[in-house]
Amino acid sequence: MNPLIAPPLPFDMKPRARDAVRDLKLQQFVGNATHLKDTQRGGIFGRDFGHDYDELRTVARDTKQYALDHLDELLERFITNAEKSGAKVHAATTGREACEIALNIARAHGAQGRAMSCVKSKSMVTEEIGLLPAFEAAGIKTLETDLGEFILQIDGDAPSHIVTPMIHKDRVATAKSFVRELGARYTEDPTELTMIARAHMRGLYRTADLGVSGANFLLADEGAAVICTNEGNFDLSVGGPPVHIVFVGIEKLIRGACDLAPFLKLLARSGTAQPLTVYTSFVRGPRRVGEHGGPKELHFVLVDAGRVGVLASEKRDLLRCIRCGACLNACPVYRKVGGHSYGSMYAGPIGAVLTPELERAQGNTDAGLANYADLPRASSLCGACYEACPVKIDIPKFLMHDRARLRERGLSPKSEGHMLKLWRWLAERPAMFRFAIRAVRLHARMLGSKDARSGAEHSWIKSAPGPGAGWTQSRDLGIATGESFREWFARRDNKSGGGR
Amino acid sequence: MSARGPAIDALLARVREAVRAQAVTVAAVPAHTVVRRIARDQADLASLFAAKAQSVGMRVTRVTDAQLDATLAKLLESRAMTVVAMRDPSLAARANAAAGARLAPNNNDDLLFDCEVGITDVDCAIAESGSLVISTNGRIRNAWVTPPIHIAVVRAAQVLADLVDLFELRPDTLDAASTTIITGPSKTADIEGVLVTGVHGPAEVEIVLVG
Repeated sequence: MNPLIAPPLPFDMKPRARDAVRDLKLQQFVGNATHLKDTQRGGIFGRDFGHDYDELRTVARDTKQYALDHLDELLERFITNAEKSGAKVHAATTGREACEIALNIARAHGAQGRAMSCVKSKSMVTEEIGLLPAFEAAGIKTLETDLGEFILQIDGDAPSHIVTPMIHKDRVATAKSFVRELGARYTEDPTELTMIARAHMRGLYRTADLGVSGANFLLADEGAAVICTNEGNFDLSVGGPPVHIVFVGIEKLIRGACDLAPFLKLLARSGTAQPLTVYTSFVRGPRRVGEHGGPKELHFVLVDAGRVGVLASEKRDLLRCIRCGACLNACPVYRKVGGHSYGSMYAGPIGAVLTPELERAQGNTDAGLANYADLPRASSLCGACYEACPVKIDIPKFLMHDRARLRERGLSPKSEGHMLKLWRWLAERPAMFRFAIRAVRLHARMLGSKDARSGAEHSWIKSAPGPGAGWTQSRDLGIATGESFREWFARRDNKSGGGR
Repeated sequence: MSARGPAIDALLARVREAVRAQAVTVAAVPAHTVVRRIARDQADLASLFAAKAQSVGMRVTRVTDAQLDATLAKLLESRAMTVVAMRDPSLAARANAAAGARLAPNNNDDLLFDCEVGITDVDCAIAESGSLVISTNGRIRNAWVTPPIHIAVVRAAQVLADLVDLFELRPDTLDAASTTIITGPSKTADIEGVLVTGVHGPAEVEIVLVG
């Protein structure tokens, strides 16, 4: 597995965050792209749903929660209906089991004396279970067909965003990879680069023995999977090869097409500010008698890999996630540190709570959080993730929950406890509090200044000394400028109360 | 219990236990009237469909039935191979005539890669998002994805107001082995967020809206 998304444990986030903050290119790409997507998301929901947006989220939240609360019934119904349409359904408790199932299917179709080839559509769960390394070890040559994932694959890189996996890379890196790996002529034009990739993959679709994909939703009533792409790579991956395997986490189940519309409307708008993804594809069984195209065999591999444990826990809500990536785009921490700082295929706020939880559910009770002790703290608790979430997962609540658990187990830094004690002592003494704030601001003015017009900060020192050094290893020291909250509040109160 | 494999029975048992470990918070799925908001007060669905389809990057030509043959002939003029994937036999005959000598056989999906145009009819269309709904029922699969140009013939009466209507009024659409809702030409913005069309599917989607 790629150490970028499957690092040695326990995972130390700080060095990666430090490098990311110092990487000016990454700051520019990730900062601009996430900011733009976040703004566009607000725009399209405002235009299309106005004041009903919040109610739409509530509908989606309750619909998905219902599905989780009745997941046993829905699973049974899905399996029955999928089998009725001719698909084969498998269950895997662990990622390794899921890979084994796929390898057995592949072996049953292996051609003598020739390496098998596979075309794969983008899927988070296959990253999670390490399908590609398992295929590679078995001599199955796999092509990632999503353009971003393809570029990451030929570079030995890993996705850093759920929806836009190569958000951390630029056209220059892509141009160089295409020259090196595909023997293409050098061009930095995104259209030309895309057409080079298209031409490269066309032939491989025609000859692949196996197609692999994830799924965005499973429909219990129809026994079908729903897969959303913008490129059309899923349709080509499933259409050509004689065998197709859908890997899917069990939390993707909903009741049926009757409940699907709110999710489709929310998913594309939240992720990329589109009304729907370009291709929303339903797969219901293998090709029928007399049909041209489509797999002769269709397999569903239902993946647990910790999900049943999350379902049983007080964090059941996390399984509502539809992987739209909106919380990543909205998060001030993700925007600065990028996806690889989270040490998981699930980055950003949802990753910070989901990664330790899936890990916990697969191992012993303590290991999850202890192995990812930095993740719950990688948040300012500003609540932007909750506001952005189309299924209203209260991520800040779960981050707080994890911080409390870290503290109970003595896994928080000692300095955090000291700071909180000092804070509490000050907060209980108003006069002392006012004095302390004034003293801090006076010192801060000696250390730097803020341009009143441009807002640009000029700081003489960027790192704090002594106990504050840890804080500034991956951040610049902020400058306290202007008035304090109490001063502002008093002034505002005077102003608004002036007429009375 | 079922005669399924032990792995599936074990998964079902574990899920059953896990579901009971927490209290049920949502007893019934909520009704979703707000979901329909966009097309709620629209009377002229064909015009809304045309406007929305254009806003996601598809081209729309609105014609009468009498103009259809000439329109198709013009769209297919100077094109290389065309595959016709239509469930409606009378429409298929008209498209075949328009393609003339450059008509590809519609029973070999490998040949789709050699076609320049895939021309299809639709199961239905959706006004609020400007989407085409096309199933494999009666059509060669992926004729709408593989060639670089997709031409779709849509009758105004086939336009539904909302995505919800597809699932409520036309659930039969999903009976097919595969159904795809298409909302624009194939798109990517993976390289620095720059929008590029035609990455895997067609770069051009041409809608002929009849009536």
